[in-house]
Amino acid sequence: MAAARTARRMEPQVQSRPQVTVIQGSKQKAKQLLIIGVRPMKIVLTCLLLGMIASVCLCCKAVLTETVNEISVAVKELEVLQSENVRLNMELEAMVSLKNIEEYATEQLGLSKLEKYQVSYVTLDEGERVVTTQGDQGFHLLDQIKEGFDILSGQLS
Amino acid sequence: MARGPSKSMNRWSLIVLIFLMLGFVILSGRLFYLQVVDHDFYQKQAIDYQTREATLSAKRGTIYDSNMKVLAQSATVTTITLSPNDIKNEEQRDLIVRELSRILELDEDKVREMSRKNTYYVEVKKQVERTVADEVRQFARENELGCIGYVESSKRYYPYGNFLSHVLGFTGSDNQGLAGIEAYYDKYLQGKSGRLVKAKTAKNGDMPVDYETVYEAQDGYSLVLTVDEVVQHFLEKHLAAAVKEHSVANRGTGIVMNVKTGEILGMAVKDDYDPNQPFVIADEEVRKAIEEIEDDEERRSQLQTAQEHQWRNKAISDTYEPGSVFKIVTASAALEEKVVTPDSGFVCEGSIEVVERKIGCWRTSGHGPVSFMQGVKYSCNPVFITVGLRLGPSLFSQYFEAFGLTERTGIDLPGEAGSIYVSEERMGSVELASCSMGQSNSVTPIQMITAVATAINGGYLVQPHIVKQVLDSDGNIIESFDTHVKRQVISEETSATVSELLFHAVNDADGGGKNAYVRGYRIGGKSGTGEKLGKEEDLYVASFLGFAPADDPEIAVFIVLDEAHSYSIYGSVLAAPAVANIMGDVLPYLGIEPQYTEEEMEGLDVTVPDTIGISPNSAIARLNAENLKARIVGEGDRVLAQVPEAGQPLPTESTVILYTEENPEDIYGEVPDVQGLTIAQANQAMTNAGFNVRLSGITNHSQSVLCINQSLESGSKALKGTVITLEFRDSAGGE
Repeated sequence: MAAARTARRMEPQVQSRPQVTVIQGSKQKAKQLLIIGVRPMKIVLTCLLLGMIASVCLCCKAVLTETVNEISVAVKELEVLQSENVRLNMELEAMVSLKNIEEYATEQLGLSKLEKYQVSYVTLDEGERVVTTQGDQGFHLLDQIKEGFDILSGQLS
Repeated sequence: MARGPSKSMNRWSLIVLIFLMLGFVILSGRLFYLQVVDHDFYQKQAIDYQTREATLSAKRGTIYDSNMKVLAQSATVTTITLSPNDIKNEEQRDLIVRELSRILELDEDKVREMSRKNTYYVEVKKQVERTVADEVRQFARENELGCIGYVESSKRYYPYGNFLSHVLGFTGSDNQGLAGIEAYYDKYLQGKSGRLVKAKTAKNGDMPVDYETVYEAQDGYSLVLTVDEVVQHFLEKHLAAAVKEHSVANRGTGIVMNVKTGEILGMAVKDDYDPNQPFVIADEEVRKAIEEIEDDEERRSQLQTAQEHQWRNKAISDTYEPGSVFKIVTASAALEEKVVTPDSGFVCEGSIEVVERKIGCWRTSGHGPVSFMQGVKYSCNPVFITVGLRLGPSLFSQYFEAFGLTERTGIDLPGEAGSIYVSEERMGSVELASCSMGQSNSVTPIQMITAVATAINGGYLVQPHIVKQVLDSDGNIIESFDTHVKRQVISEETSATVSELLFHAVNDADGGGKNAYVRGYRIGGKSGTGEKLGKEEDLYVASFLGFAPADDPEIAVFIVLDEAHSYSIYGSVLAAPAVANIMGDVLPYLGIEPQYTEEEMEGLDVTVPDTIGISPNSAIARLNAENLKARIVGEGDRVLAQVPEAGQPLPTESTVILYTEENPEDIYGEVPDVQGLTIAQANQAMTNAGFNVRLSGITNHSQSVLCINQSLESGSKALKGTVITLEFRDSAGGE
């Protein structure tokens, strides 16, 4: 027991520290209040911003998906129309085949094949042009003279 | 005082730990087994559960002619399906059966039978076009029928029907080539299917597009053929006319080939079929006969036989004994080996004896003393037998092989047959004699025209081919097939001599090929009449092979008529006119202009001048100036009408009828029948009836040259003065 007491006496004395109290000045107090007030604002704003970004992303995604779907539908429709185009072209080609054209020309229109020797090639110089003449019903002086010559040559031959 | 765990506690802890570790090891092992060993199995299962796959069909390539005209093209169509197990009640079934039968033009009983099957999928009709599919969709929508389904498929269109059918071939229901070019080039045309892999929701719905992957289909390549649509049209037109006119029982074949490049410009077999409906028998008589067969199995068997017969490309798949056309090969070999010259002398007494066996000439009375050139012109059998014997079996066989007649030509079409020939070892004198004139050996038409092309193009054996280029879907050339010369068989000099000999065969008045003559063109050629051995009745294959221009051959036309039943058996009479008609159309189209001799110019038509409104005397003078005659009808002083009209072509020396009064009487005449008459007789008959005559075909006044066709039917009424075209051919003919 004496030893315990001695030991206790030998122990360093714990001195209590004086309590220090910080008294905030008014500016600092206001700042703290501001900080305390701004933090939730920041959080809210951040949340709002994040929300907006997320909404925009979702919106874009939705628009993209819709657009892709529309493209898909349009591509499908294009394929269908292209196929229809092919089918109609084939039908048209069948109608205007060489065989059909020749049959129509000869049987319906009464046309006949042009022989090579019926075609004459005329070389035109610069300034010349081809003019078709109409069958004349009137009796012009020149025609009468020409007629006279024809009659004369016919009688002489 | 704190106490640590006891020994018992330690022991139990250890046991628990061991158990836990054991459990952990077992679980790890199982996890390892599932995730590593069975990885592939579970991954596949997961993919199957989580994704849906759809096949993206590749578009089949298009087939074009040499001028990029579409001959075959595919388009998307719909297969209408039905889910019979989803039909709610009988009333709905009746509605579906009635309406689907009506819209799809199907038998009601067959549709009802389909609707009663115990299945969720049955194909009602394949290859339904958009307008019809839309009608089905509307019907299903209006009646809220979820049991009708639609599957995309593909249909092949051939816009010109039976045009070029044996070359193009056709496709099956799975878009695979089954015949012709469609089959031969199937791997080019088919392309590769793609895949669309999509993730699906737990309820089997589709996820957004982000969860899909597309493996694009690779469209098939397109083909550009050497065939020219216009040349093919002329070939088919005149071949069909010849087959009809001469009642050809076993089909006719025609080939037009560029002799220098081997390009096939046209290939036709008549009768043919429509590749849009390849399984329908085109021959009405045959089709009806098959439909009348009561036994199902017998009917199916007969139908299959008839289908295979109509699909068979006779130009490459059927062999025949070529007859005298083969003499071109014999002549080429003999000239090259210098065993004969064009002036070598021979004597034809109507037959020749070979090892105590008499072989006759087609002219039983004999040709008498002839040169080799005349022997070619007259197609004299004794001349060619003598030439063949001079060549001998060894040389003959060598040239037979050199001309490509012992092997397939290798043309890019399926089903090419090889020749049947007498080998050198088995060739005695009699066999050699027979082979020299084109009997005993059997070749295909494509082998024959290729061999003759060799003989006239400078001596070069070229590879015949149908496809020129392979294109991708953007039109880029993937592959090109150019001229392939296999070897030179004879010299250019010999080739020129052969061409000259064959020119005389057509152009000379006594030539055997004169029925192939075309005014203004130098055409050479050779006829053939091969006897079909082993038949109960006498049957022949009549053929003619012509080429032009004879001094520098560019194209060859070959017509083969198998079993013609007509007024003659000879190729020079039956097939040569068809070759002439084809040449007359094809040569101008190919830009080969006619060059008329003075004699030919005299026989040309003139254009009728206009005489309306002038006095009859002036009209006569005007007509005389053009070498035309006039006949005045009426007493008027002005010409009011003329027949033929101004601008019409009219042969010289023809008569123009000039009407000088209104409503003249007796302006129509009855067309007389002049078929079978000579030129002089036909001319007289037509002139007496008041008509003008234009001559076509052979125009020499030989007694054997007879009228075979008139442009206006006998007994019909026509305006007097009308020009009637009469076609004349030499009926004497020859091999």
